[in-house]
Amino acid sequence: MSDFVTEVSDSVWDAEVLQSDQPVLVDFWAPWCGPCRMLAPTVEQVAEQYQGKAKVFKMNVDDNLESPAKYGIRGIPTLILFHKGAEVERRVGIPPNANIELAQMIERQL
Amino acid sequence: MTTDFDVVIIGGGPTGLAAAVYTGRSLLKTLVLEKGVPGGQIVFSAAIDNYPGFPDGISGYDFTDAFLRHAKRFGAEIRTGLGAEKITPNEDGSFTVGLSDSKSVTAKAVILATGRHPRKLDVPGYDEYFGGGVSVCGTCDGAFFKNQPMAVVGGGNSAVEEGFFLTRYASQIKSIHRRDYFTAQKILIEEYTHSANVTPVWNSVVEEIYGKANGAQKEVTGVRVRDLKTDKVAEFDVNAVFVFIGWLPNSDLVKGMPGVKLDEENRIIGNELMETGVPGLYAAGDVCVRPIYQLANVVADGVQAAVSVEKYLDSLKNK
Repeated sequence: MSDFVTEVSDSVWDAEVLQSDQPVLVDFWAPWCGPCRMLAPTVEQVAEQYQGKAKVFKMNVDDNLESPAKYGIRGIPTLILFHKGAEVERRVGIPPNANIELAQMIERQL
Repeated sequence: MTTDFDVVIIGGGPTGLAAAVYTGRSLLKTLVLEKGVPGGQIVFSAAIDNYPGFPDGISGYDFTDAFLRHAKRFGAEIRTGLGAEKITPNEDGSFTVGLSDSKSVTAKAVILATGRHPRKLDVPGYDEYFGGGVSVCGTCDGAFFKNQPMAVVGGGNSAVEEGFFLTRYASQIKSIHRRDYFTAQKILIEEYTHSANVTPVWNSVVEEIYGKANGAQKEVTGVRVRDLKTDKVAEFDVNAVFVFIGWLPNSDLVKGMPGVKLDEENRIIGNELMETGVPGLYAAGDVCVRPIYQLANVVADGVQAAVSVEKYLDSLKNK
């Protein structure tokens, strides 16, 4: 289990993601998605780097139907950055240089 | 020659990780740079059924996970989400590798195992609906379209293998191909074409992918297809378009580098020792010209590159 990335669910979505004061990166994934699982350690590194400044969650699209549908997730991995209750940026698929790319997305909101 | 690493391996797919197992066992200080995810294209495979020694098949994820652990066991450092931007040969024969975080590392030898990336379909709608139904990964995205109509574009191994995987989800698959036959392995073609929900659309190319958009949320609703023989245009209502129309080599790092030869498709022309024309710079796997692009032979390429590096570094010591 990850130290810096926690699972978020539909039931706490509003409180954890939309009402957060900090930027929130959500990694939509599923256990059957190999690339998603291989990307997880990189997302974890970014989460550690921004600990205290931004929140990073994963959402399992098998266990949660509401939020993925609301945001039109039709391919994974999809990473969406939220800030002040709204979507700011999204990346679909494996972003090249994800370490840098995801950090820069967060930096733009700090 | 003092460098940060003995060898930097650019690319953490099967070729790069195989090389790392061997350079690690040769006690060479090894760095693997992977700008995407470890495993590269093989992670997208739901089941690898043709790698000898795995009679029940193995998922791309499990295969890569084992490979990663194997490389790490012998000491390789693996950085993910971080690629190489530039390779500069230095006067003393070493290399400086510029990284995507603007830092750089030096090494006595470099193995390019950068692989290939899927060719994009150059039609309106491809980029716009990517992630909204347009996909290059059946295992990632097929499940979002359960009992829905899909299009699969392409006719090689990837198209037929992924297409067959998608038959478990699709209500109907229009399998669109520019020829009137598939060019995949026979067993794959059998499985695919005998599936009840697959309809080949031969001699045809996609002209447009269309759909509806609501801000960042995109949804494919159909494809327009032209029959190359009759010139007739047809529209198919589909919710997903899976595209497998070939590959392009990731050879930009050495394009124009003196001593490195590329063919007309920008694939690296090397030799059986994985040498390029630059001493200390090796190229292996999918980025090179190969008669076939299969897991087993690109793994072997990585092994050969590692052994060549070891011999090269020994020759430097004896100078």
